[in-house]
Amino acid sequence: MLAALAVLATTPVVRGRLAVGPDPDPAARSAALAALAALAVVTVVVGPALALAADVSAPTVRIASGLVIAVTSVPDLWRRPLVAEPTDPPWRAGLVPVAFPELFGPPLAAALTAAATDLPAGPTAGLVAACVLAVAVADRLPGVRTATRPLRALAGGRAAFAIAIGIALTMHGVYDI
Amino acid sequence: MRRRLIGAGVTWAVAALVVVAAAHPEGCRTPTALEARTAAEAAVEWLSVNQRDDGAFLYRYDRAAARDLGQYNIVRHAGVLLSLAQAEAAGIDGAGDAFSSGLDWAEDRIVDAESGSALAEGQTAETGAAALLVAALVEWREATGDTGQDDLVRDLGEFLAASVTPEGAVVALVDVDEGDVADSRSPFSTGEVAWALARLHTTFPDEGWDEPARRVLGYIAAERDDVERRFPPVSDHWSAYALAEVGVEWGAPLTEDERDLVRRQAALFGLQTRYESQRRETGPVRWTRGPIALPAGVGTLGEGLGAMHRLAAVDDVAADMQDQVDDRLRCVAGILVDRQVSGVEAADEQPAAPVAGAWFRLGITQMDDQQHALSALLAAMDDLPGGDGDGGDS
Repeated sequence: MLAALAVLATTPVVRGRLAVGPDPDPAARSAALAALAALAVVTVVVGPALALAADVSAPTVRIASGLVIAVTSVPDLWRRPLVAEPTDPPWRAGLVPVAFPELFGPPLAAALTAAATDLPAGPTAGLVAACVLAVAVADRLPGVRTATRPLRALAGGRAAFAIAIGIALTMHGVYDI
Repeated sequence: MRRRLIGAGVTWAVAALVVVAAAHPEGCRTPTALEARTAAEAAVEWLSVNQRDDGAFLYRYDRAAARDLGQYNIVRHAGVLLSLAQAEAAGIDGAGDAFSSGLDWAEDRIVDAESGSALAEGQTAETGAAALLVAALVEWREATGDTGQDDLVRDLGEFLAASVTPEGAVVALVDVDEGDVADSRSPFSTGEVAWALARLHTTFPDEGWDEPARRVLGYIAAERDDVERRFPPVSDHWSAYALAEVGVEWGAPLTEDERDLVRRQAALFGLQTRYESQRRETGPVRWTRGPIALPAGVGTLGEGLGAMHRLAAVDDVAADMQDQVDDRLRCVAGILVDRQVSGVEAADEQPAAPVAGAWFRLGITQMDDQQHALSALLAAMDDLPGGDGDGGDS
């Protein structure tokens, strides 16, 4: 449950929206979403498999994931998102910087790994879908300027929430059996 | 943009470092029941061949210097008797003789106290010593049917019951002439006394031992950590034994506080087992995880987990955790089997007797290393592949 919450807390919906620019090209949106979906699927498949191969138990995965989320979400408290260059081809802008590094960063990768280690395949697939859907819906919102203060404050608030969830996930791993 | 992309790369590098530092391989292997039994037999052999004529055991030994480091501890002597009685119950050769000789040593140190009898050298008796002797004698009684020590068991029990305060705390030290040493507490005596009193009720169900036993358990569950030591929490395998005694042997339901204690203790045993299984005696992991723990400490984890394993048969809180508890229990057994010095490894050492069958940390072994490791292996044996409750394929 906590790992599922971590996935939602580490999905940078607002940062993704800001990164794609105030008037995004549909091709950039599609490329970003496709890349996010592909990276998320690879993570939920490879992450737990690597943990199993390395003989790392689920509670230890939770500890490591929680620490990664808490530590690497800190810069997101104040860091402005990278914004797609208008001169780049849309598909390329969708991949860099929108999908990587803004949408798919270490916090989301860690949260997806923890969730996929703890949860069965069905709920994990649902979480990946929810994560991609949240970004897709945000992309449909009316255009915003990158400097919009409320949105940046919202992105910072999301990072603060992710840090709190990261700490909780770590403690949950510590106090598991 | 390029500079900020480099910043993102640095974030990924930091994440990788965090993962490497936090998620070490746990290296848990599941030994077979035969491997565990062989290790337990070697531990009993160590206790037997390193026992003096008066019944005392080799206490502390430096492997590199091949030197007996002297000293002795009466509580640990009683603890070793307990592990030998458990080994006798498991049918391990040599355990009974070593137990009997060790009991002679203990009987020479039974003293009259204000209430009942204590096990003490000198003026001050530790309640933990009497408690472990009770646990050992009850184990011996169950294993052999020998009721010859029943009067002694009751006298020791009377001493223990008198050491319990009205709120359920346990006085750790008693002056045999003057009475309780004020405010003396110990992180382990309380659980030891709870278990001893619980065992007394199992053995003599009509004599009222259940009331003080339950009082102590209630105190441990609800108050002990706040009153005596909030941090770090006590990893208390003796309380786990007591909880299993009440749940399994008495057939009594646990209170909510006691069930919460089951959860907390299982979590502590699990965390420590995972951490210990990440440690290595050599290589870079020593920098991040430190040297391996005392073998006695690892053994107590197995004892605690073994008690939780038994409790799972009768308590749904423990049953919910059973898969994880069993995984950790098998992991402890694997660690102990792998870390024990075998007879072959010790063959070239002079003398070999204090080395073969022992567990060392930083070149030192102590008799309670063998005691706790032996008890843990016996607790895990049935749950391992080839054991009576075959732990199968995990």
